[in-house]
Amino acid sequence: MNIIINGKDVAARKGETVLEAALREGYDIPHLCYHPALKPEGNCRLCLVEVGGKVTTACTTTVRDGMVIELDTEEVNKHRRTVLEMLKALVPKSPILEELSAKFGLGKVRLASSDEVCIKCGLCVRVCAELVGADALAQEGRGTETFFNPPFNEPSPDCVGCTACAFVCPVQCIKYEKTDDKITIWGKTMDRLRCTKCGASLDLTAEHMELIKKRGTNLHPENLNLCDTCSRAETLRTMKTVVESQLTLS
Amino acid sequence: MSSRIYYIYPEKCTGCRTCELSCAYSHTINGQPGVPRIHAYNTKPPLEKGIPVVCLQCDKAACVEACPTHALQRNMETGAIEVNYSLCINCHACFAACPFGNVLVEPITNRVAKCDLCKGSPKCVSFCPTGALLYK
Amino acid sequence: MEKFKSPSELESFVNGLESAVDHNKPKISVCRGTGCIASGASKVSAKFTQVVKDKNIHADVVETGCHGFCERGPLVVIHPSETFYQKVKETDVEEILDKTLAGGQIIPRLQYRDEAKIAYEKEKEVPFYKDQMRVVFGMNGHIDPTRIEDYMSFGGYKAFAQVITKGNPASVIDTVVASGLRGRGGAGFPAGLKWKSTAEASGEPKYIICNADEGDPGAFMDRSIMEGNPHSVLEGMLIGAYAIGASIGYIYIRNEYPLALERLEIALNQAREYGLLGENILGSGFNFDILISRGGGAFVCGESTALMESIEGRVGRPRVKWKRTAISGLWGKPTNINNVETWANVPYIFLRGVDWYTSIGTGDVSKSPWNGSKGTKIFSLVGKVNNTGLVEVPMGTTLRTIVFDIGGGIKDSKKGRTFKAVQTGGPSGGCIPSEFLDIGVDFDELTRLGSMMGSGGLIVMDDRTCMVEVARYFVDFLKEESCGKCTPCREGLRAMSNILNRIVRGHGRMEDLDLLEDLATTMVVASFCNLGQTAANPVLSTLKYFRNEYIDHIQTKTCTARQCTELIKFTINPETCTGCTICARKCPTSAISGETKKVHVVDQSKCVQCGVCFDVCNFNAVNVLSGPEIKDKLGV
Repeated sequence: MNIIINGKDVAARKGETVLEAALREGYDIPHLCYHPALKPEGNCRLCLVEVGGKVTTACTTTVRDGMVIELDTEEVNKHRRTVLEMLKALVPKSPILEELSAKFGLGKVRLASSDEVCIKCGLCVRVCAELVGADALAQEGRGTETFFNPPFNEPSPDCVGCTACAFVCPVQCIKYEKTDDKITIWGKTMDRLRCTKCGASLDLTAEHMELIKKRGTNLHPENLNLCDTCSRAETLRTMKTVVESQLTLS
Repeated sequence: MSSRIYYIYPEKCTGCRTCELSCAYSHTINGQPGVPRIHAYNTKPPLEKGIPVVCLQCDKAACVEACPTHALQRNMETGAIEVNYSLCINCHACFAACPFGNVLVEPITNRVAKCDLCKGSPKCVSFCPTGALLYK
Repeated sequence: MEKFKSPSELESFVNGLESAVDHNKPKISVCRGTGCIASGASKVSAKFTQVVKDKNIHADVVETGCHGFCERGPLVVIHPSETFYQKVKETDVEEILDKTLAGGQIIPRLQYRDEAKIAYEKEKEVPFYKDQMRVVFGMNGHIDPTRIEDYMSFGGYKAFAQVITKGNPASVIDTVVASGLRGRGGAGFPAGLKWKSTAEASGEPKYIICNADEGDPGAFMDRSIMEGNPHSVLEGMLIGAYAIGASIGYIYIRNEYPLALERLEIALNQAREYGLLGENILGSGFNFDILISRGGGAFVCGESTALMESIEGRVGRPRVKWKRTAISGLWGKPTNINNVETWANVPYIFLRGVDWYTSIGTGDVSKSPWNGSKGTKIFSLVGKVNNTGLVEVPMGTTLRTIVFDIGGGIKDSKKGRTFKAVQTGGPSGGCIPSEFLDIGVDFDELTRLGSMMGSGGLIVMDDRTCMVEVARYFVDFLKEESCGKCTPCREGLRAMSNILNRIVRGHGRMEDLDLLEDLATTMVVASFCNLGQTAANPVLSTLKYFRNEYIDHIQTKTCTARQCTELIKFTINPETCTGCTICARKCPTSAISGETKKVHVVDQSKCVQCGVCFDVCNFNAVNVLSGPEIKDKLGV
């Protein structure tokens, strides 16, 4: 099917959202809480567009054949700026918000600043629950008192230290600390696995390995918990040609 | 499925590691060389030679199975399993799952990296001076 | 109790009960709605029951649901004479039985008197009731909500029996479409059209939900329906379920309504015992049961998707509607949600006919139910009016009738209080000023004026109500109740709350008005759910109709209504003060000093602007200053 973005015919696929179609076709729509691997939730409200003359969010609108979409009308930009202003008042020091403000011409923020670090988009919770499968994070409180934490803000028994939450956070406000043998995130410290051959520390924890297994992934017993170099070497050692020619790897 | 296959002829490899260099420079990050997806192992004396190891692009790949976001998908034209970085949440499950050590972690960005056959024209193949690598 | 095996069996049973009612038998109906219980109605009804039994008096005592005139509770009506008594105490019971019931005498002390001290004898003559049209509340003063037979003796469940006899679900939907019934929960979506899409949607099972999460401050009509006539809701749901083909119904009720919950549970059990719920209802092969789901009291759970999330066991936050609820609602199945009052309307449409129903209300719905508002609407009339309570009027009744005739006008009008505005539609509604008093209240008119029907709250405001403070109150309420999901609602309300709190404290800036408008318009357009989309209404409507008050607060630090405590000072007028000392005695901070028969003085350093002196002064000697007056008169 076809949709019309800014007056141009654009191919779209049945069932996808306006945001997905527009991004794929190279159009730029600002978005913070959208992640292509997750079903859109429509939380940040930044991806405003005009659909058939009505301002709505691109991430929660499913395409229809012949849909007329405008990305940069005065109306859209006005509301987008106000939403951005609200976010900047909430999180004053965020490079991504600065960048978006410059792009959409948002001047001085007129609202009282909250000095928080999190824009409360909830992406961390959704990634942890729906993709990683650990379900270690939750939304706490409601309204302006919304916070994202492990339940009760205590170290969660479910957290596996994969750091995917920190990775997807659009404002990079989830901090973790990684030492040679430990990883600490959300107040929980876990041991990093070590290569059973050479002892190099891996970017994995035993808890994470358990979770990957629990997700139903068939982990091959060969070369588990080896660093990439040792794993490749082990593979070579078992290969017929290598064994037969009695090569010894340096 | 692609009809093109990546061949390794260990008998022709001298262990010069030009493949690693060309790989690192074809996957640069902000101008810096990336982690080489291919590794040429050198054997110990008496027979000093090399054996290149690189992703096998397994038919039933463990990395693909382990990925919770379906970020690892096979490029049907090249046959390579590629990481779709916009879907990737950097959880390193693919790294954990690969039994052959062919999913790597890029030290500069801490992101996972694997051989993508350079979108159909692998630099390791073009730069190999002895013809130990072939992609056809 | 035998289960009915066919609709005709049910109908003849109901007919039997109806004709067995002895309309001449004396009946004492004691209101036991939440309001009257709070005023002590339980003791009154217990006393009636006891004395009637002890003295073997030929009369029935019926503990009914809410009569609506909550302000004057406990209410007692003596039938058949329809003698209306208000503020009845336990000690009045024997006198009522002796004088009124036995002797036919009126007890003047218990009669209702209006502001002009005119007494009224019969319930229907009382101005509060005279202009009402009580359909949904029709049985409330007559039946015991805990007895299904009482409901049936007024024709209850007859409509359902007839629907089953006819055996044509599609015609049921056509009837509801033709009746023009629109959802009473707020949006006013035609119920019949909603039923139709759910009936046509594919997927099993289908659900119907009764939204009883009534959360607007001051609104309690759904509560009174459930407490006073729970079977009318169940019958409406039965008819709806049959038409839609639903097999499970949910009543999502907030936990703060223990009495409504109790009465619904009793009603459900009675309906089950009679075979009106369960398998093979009335031998028709129709299976349907109703479950109760209790909400935790979050305002946002009245939003349909948040409500479904809550029933499904998750946090009550709205979710994205990829498909309409009619196609994919509760657990992804076709679902129809209607509000309590909507369901309670349904039986009457069938019992009295579409022609009767469409004769009430506004517009012409013969072509489309969108073209008018039909039937009656219950409003919760509160605020600065003489008669507060629940009023049921035909759609299209003017605000003037509701406020001045039924409501008896503005409270303390003798002290000079005048009407300023009426706030409709709960926290998300808007304020309508006096120039629109003569509009007929229906869905479309209210929306046109920048307010909304909402669930039917009507808060009357007088000239001492500060509109900026009203906006601040509602914005703060919504700020607490926002779920926090989307940016415009969460952050917009936070910002608006900051600004409005600043203005009522006298620290506002003129730029704030533009800022409020910017925030408000973006919230309307960009918020995720209806809560956020309508949350700006109190601000937008007060800015539209009462902008001057905002400007006065900002520019001259004047609260014209003399309500914002940080902008006012109380002084005593030496010319009118008689030295009666009442203000000094009532002042909680002892800020007023003065001897008997001498002029009193307010110590401004101790005064906390509570306003007690103003309220108690019988000589209008307390002046409230604001703005430049403070400097002029007090020199500060």
